[in-house]
Amino acid sequence: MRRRRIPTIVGLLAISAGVLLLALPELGGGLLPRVAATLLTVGVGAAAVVLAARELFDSDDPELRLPTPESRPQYRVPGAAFAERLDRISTVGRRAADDADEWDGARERTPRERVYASLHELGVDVLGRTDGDTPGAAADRLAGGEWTADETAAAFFADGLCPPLPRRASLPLVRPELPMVERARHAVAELAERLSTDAPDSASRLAPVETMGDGAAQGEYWPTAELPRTRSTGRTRRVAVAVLLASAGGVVMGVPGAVLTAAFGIALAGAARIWEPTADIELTRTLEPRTPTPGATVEVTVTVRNVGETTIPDLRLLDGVPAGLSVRSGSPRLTTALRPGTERSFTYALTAVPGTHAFESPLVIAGDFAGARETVRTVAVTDGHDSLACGFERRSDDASSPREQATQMPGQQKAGVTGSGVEFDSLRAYRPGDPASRIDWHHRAKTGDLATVEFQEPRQPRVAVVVDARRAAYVAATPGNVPAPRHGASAAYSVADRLLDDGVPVGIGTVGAGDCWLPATTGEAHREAIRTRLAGDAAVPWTPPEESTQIREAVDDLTARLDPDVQVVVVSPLCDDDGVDLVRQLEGAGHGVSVVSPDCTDPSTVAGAYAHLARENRLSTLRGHDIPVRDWDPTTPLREVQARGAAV
Amino acid sequence: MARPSERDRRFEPGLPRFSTGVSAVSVLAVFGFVASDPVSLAFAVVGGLAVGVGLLRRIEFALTAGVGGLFVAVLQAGADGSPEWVLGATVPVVLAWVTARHALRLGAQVGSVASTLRVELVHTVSVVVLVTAGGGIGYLVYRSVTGTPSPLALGLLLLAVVAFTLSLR
Repeated sequence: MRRRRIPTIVGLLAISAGVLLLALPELGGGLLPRVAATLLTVGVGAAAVVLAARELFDSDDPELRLPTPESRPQYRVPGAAFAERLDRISTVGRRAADDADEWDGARERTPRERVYASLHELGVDVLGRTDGDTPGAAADRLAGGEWTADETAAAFFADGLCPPLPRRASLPLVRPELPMVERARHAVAELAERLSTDAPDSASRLAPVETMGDGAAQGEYWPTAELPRTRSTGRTRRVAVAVLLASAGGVVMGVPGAVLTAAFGIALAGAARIWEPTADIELTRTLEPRTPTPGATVEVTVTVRNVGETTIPDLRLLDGVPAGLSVRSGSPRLTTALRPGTERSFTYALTAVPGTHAFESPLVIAGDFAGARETVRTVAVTDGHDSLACGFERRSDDASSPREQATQMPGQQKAGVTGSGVEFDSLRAYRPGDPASRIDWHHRAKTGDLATVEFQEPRQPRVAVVVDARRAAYVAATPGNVPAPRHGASAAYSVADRLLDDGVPVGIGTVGAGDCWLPATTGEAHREAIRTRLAGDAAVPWTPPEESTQIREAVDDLTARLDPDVQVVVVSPLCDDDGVDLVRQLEGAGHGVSVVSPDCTDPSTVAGAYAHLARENRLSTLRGHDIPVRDWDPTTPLREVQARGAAV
Repeated sequence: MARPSERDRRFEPGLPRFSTGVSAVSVLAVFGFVASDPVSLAFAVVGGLAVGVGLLRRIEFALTAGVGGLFVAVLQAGADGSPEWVLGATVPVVLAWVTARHALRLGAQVGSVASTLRVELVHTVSVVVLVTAGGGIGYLVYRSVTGTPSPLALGLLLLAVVAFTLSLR
């Protein structure tokens, strides 16, 4: 405050003295006042210029990052890494072309070598599956180039890593697609064609890497840590610069009009000091329908009411659309000016996806009359709905369990231990304390020794459903689509629900995001606990975790919690090799593992087709190790997949 | 394979029409004011283009520099004219800058889908009122001191302007 008080006092004194001089002009006569006047004009003018320059180089208040409630966080598209690698080949290749460098030096593994190695592996796998080639024969066919009619695709494996550069590539400003990249593209398209998926057109160029999502690089979905905050829009500062420069310039050049324009600036800056940007509002929100089916449209109506005693001249509102929902039509943003006691409503439509979606606190930006300052804060919704529940319902139909080994009837599973039961296992020497009913009297009559019969101990199977929610698992068919772990949460609930119906104790856990663990048990309360965990966003959040997960540690954590005889159902998109490692290490730890894999790849693009091929390869690897894998298209309900599985 | 079931709406920053229109009309008004002096008109046209670029490409620096150009054009045209003329011709300069900045902020925060007319109207009207009132008071003070024989009084008033600007920052 003191900083402002001194200039105010100086200003008031100066005005008083000036007015006094105007009223009594004889005081200003004489040589001394003239010299003082000149010194004052020059000195203050120079000071004004210096101050203006300082203001000019001052930085504004940092901009707040406002959330974008219209869309979900942008997830990575499967195959983005492959596209980046091809892009890197192009960059490195161009640099090499520009610098007339060697293509490949004595480095370890260049991007092109890595692309070659991964595509070669996929090629061998695809030829093995479609034509029944052994790996060696498939490699020979690839090297010979006779596996496809597409010469460009065949040349990728047959012609080596350093195809000759077209002359155009050396020209400045011309950026043709490099032969290596074109061949890789064709090879992917041909391999995808062989697997008869809807393969990309081999003539289509690679989509820019920027369109493939950047994972969690964009930060928190609803950043409110710095709120509430009152910030300057930078207008007053610029006005001050203009006033100082105009006054100094006007005095020096003798243009009184220029000095006079300072009045505009002082009026704008003064108004900004008088009015505080405040907004005393109440919000209500209604959702229609309250419990939609997946894919349905939900109408959201928000009403803002000015409950303060002053007019709100400039109100901007961002409704807190949950991270998992996206806006189908309308806008969750409102601007308005509200007199006291008045209200305004706006409506927008959301597309429902499975989950329990809690709305975030709406964000309010209140500006002042002059538009010089604004307050950003969150407001609570005082009345109405603040969450939307969709999907995750109990199913009443019957279908199969996720894995044939996960037996449904208690007592069917062989526990591997002996004791009381019905099925004979072995005979052992009698030990004092053995129940008399298990003594083999025939043996006693025959040999004279007491012996006890051991039966196979029946045990109820227990299942743990583990959702893969690692950072790498957060992929979606398009950057704004539902990410694989959220499909995984739906699938996990579906599996758990069915097993609980069959009386099988089920637990759930996650790997990566969230720390969710419910031990295997049964009961309605447990079913509800599973539903709450999986439908909400605490266990499987909509934003990817910051850190990537070490598979070894994750498996150690899981096995520490799992009893040895618990079967595990892993729900993973299998879009990276770590997903396969997770499954195999769990299997290695002695658990019966099966996999449900939501397919989030889009084979109609080159990167997506690569991801699709790689995923198919992983699926066949797992199946090759006798691990049952259910490939699930998330656009169809999981129970249909399960029913088909049962019929096969 | 999962495909997006429908195209969901993405946020698109927009440019509110009313404020942009007010800004454009103000720039044209400045052109009209300075049209008689070719040098000033040249300054004004360059400034006006910069304002247009600043608005369309959302570059605040271009906007502010453009308005600076418009102001220089007004001062150049009015150097020998009456202070009243300079005062009057500066009003559209201020209005062009203030509404254009407001349009940029609104566009970035609210986008092109939501309606913004009400807020734009309130803002434009309050700025016009403020500028008119401030300019009017300034003009009255100026009229009362014109013809004064004391340069010291003017120097003191300049000091007052600078001091108040500092305290109001």
